[in-house]
Amino acid sequence: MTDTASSPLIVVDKLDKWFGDHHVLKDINLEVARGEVVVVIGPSGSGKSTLCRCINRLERFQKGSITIDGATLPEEGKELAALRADVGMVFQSFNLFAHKTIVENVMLGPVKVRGMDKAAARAKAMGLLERVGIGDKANRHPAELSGGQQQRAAIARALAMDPKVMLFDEPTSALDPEMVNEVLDVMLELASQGMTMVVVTHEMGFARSAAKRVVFMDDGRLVEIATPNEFFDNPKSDRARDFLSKIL
Amino acid sequence: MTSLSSWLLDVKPSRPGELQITEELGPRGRRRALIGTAAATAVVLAALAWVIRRFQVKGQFAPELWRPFRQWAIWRYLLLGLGQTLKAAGVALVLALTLGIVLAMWRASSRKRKRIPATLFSEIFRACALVLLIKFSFFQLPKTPGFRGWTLGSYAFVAVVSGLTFYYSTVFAEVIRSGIRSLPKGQSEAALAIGLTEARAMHLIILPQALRRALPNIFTQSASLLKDTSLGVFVTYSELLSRAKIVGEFGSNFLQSFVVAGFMYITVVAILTSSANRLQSRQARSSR
Repeated sequence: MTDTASSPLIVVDKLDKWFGDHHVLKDINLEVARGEVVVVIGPSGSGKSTLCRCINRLERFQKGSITIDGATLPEEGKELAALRADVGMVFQSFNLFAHKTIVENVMLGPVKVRGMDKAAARAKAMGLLERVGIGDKANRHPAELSGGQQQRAAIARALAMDPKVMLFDEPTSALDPEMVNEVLDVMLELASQGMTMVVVTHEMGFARSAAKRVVFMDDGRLVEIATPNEFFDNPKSDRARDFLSKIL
Repeated sequence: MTSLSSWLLDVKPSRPGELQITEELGPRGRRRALIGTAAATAVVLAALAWVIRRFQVKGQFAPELWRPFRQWAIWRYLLLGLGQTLKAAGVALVLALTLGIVLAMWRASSRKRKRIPATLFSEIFRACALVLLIKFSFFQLPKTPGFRGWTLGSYAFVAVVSGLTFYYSTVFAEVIRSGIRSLPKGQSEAALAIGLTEARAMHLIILPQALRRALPNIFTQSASLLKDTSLGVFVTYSELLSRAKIVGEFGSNFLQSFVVAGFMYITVVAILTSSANRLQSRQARSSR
């Protein structure tokens, strides 16, 4: 850890994963630098969500390694929990804790994992909720909020842990179209503030404007890594060209 | 007529948030339902009439058979028995629920050293006849170090409570486990993702929600537990049924005593059920 500033924050090295006989991730190699926004795109079933979930070990993998901030991902127990605390995760289906209010959702991590006192955690949570524009919903339960509001609350919950990196697993796929932008705006703001982000998404507009690099996956392989301009204007692989011709 | 048929068909407007599986009936369906309900009602009434007729024929309504129940002493004796019933049920309920929660958590654990013993315990004691567990405890207790030299009454109490605890802990464990399994996977994933350990995710996120979902079943099983204290009759535990039996022996009026005891059970269970319903409707309101 001599030059932490220049070393990559996430290193995925020769990663292989199988679901039973199904080889879902094939020899994945990827580095994510500090402050970098990497957008992962690809057809459904290409393994992009699985890759995202492997980074904080919500999925186990059979071969290869993942390193976060110089530390290899522990396999289990308190060490794994401690590492996950530093990695924010935003899910497709929000997954807010249904029995707790919005502000309690955001406070829970700081209080129970970081040991912060409740008043300080509440103040912090309220600040984050204001920042994502739902300060007025703090005392509601998740079911009372729209999808877009829930997803913004979920982002606030992840940010409350002061994560080193944020993982977004198709954060807008479950949203009604009119709510997509309110979530993307929060993500764009995060990106502009220098948060390291790995974003699995189908939002090509977001990829173009926020990504430093675009990663294209197909059939469990990392097919192409390029800047957004290169990728969208001049994709190198046939499969990427084919994919883009279908969605753009 | 319309009010009678709608009463028979029980077509009240569903409360918001309440799941209604059946769609509203059409004209033919309503006619069929009406005929079915009328037939079923007739069968029940006929059976009841037959029972009352037999009672009359056998002279079970004779005043001298019911006379003991005009004495406060008899009521007091039975009510104290009801007290014993409630005491055993209360203690067993607390113990069985606690043990059931632990078993459910262990069975949901990813660790084999928790999952396997909990599974074995559950499967074994759930398969045992409850009366055997109670009898076995009753006959083993006096031979167990630490329990020697107690009164017969305390042996009986401990036997009933421990039998109920072992059996109902596995029932509660199953009910709570199905509550745990009914939760979306995303709840535990989100808990793990913010850095909670598996055990703390269970305590803080999964269990509270699972218990809430299991509550209706927990109440139903609690009512069963309460009634199963009557198995104490096999080990001389002096609860409501045992005492009703003794009253019947003295007055040669078993049937009348059991009818009175039956109404006491019904009353207590009705109180339990109605408070459960009240709790649930309040909860349904607050969680929306």
